[in-house]
Amino acid sequence: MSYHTLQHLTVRLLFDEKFVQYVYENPDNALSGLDVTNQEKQQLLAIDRRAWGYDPLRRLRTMRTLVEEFKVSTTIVLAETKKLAFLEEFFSSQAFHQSIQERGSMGLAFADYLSERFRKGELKTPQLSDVLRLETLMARSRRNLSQKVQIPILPDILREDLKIKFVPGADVGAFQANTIATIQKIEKYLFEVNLMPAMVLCDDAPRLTNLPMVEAKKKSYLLCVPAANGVSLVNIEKADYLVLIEARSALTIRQVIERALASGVAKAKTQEIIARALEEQTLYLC
Amino acid sequence: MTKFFEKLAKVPCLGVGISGEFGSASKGIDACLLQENYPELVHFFEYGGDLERGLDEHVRRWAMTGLPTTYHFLDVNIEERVDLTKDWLVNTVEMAKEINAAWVCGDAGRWHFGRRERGHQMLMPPILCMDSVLESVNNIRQIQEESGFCCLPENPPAVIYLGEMHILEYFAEIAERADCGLLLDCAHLAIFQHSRKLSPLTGFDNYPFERVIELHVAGGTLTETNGYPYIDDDHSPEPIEATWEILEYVISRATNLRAIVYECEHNILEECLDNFVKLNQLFPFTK
Repeated sequence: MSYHTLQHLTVRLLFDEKFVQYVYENPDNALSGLDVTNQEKQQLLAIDRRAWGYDPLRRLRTMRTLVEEFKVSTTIVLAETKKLAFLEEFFSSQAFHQSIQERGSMGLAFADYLSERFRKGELKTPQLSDVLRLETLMARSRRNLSQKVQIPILPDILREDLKIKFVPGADVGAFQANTIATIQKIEKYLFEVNLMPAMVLCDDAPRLTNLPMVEAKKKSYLLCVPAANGVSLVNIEKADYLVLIEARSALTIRQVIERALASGVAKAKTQEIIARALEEQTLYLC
Repeated sequence: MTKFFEKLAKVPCLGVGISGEFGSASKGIDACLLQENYPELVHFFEYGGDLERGLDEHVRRWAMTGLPTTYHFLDVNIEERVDLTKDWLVNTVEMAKEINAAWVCGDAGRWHFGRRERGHQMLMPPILCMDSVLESVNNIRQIQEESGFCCLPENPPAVIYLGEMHILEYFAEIAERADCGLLLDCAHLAIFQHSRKLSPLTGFDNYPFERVIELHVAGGTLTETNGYPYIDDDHSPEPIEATWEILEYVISRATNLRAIVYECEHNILEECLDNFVKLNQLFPFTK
């Protein structure tokens, strides 16, 4: 119904001054393709345009929650660009507007926004790519935690026609070998500046320099698992990664064995990994 | 007589209460201490809760005294059918029951945009149109039927309201169609009237005063950003004049009124005592 569209539009207008300008100056173009009636359009335009910006801290407050979730990536971005505006431009991006209009996740849209700017070459710090992928993996896993599944008791024998899948919140990823070292270095830096945030104003304040080199040829494999307060990461072997990544969608054990075999993991090893992951409830029979 | 009026006999009169949210006692007024020191001024506690944070020790402490509570939700979009999930309803009812709430209530608009997710919190009013009324009605009916609680929708605060209806007309339609009671926030109404350049008492024709179960009162401040004037619903100690005017007008007409909440928990107690006295004079509590 069109009033839902109007609500989404309201959010976009409250966050994005540029969009306000566009809507008021060229409403037909700005609102084309949206399910809003002429009457609703008139109601929108009848609002004093200054009203949309009544809360000047809205963006910053919201950015704070995004920065909390993408702490390391945003630190790299700010260290490189030296501009808060670079992050704030998110609220004028297509990723933001689309996530609001389609009732999506703003956090994941923010990850898409940063990733796109990196792909376009507007961000160049080489460590960013994998750090952002890892933070996105965790953000996605956190959001999946709310899905409810029934985890059945394991049978004595795991037949190969049984289907397996990650439990909500579990996932795997492969990252350049120094990703964790980069995260640790940045977390240490943030810890230091958080001791006295005003120190960033000083010339002799700690600076974020010499991030660990990107080791693209070596990989570290990480398993994201549900934890007491969200999700946590566990180091795993390459073979575990190659097997478990197949469980992102529901497949039979036989299918996983076949796919893992194609990636070079022996059948017995795959069976062992699956059995252990089922036991630890990283996977479940679905 | 509708179900609502049949049930009314069992809805207790709670008197004057104070609001609180997760952790509010540590930064502002502790409702238990207030009640202990001024039992004649405060009779119940309205806890504003959400699933993410749950109940805090403050409301649990209050509930242990056996004094009444109400549960004010902070995390469901009443005008959005898809937002009222089974999970939300089951867990919210569980919390409301745990503190022995007399009813559930809350701003009926949107508490978040999109899904319920960190960073999405932003209280917005409903679009004041009939389609939105109908969707809200379905949600309120479902909450009442599945929880057994009376659900009182509250008029939310905003700087921008969209839609062709007056907010009192919008909530009157909801109340009649959902057969529910109403929570009228006098401060929020004053904000609405100011935003539409209307006098404080505009729009009360045909308003179902007999369905008003609870009233809210809170302080506000006339302020401006970029030259745009608006009333900030900042819950400072002193309600603006229009809020008092609305309150007094409604009290004399709301024959089934059961409770008044003074939303002042973030302030210093001494700055709020006179208003508690005034509210008790306007709405004397008799057990």
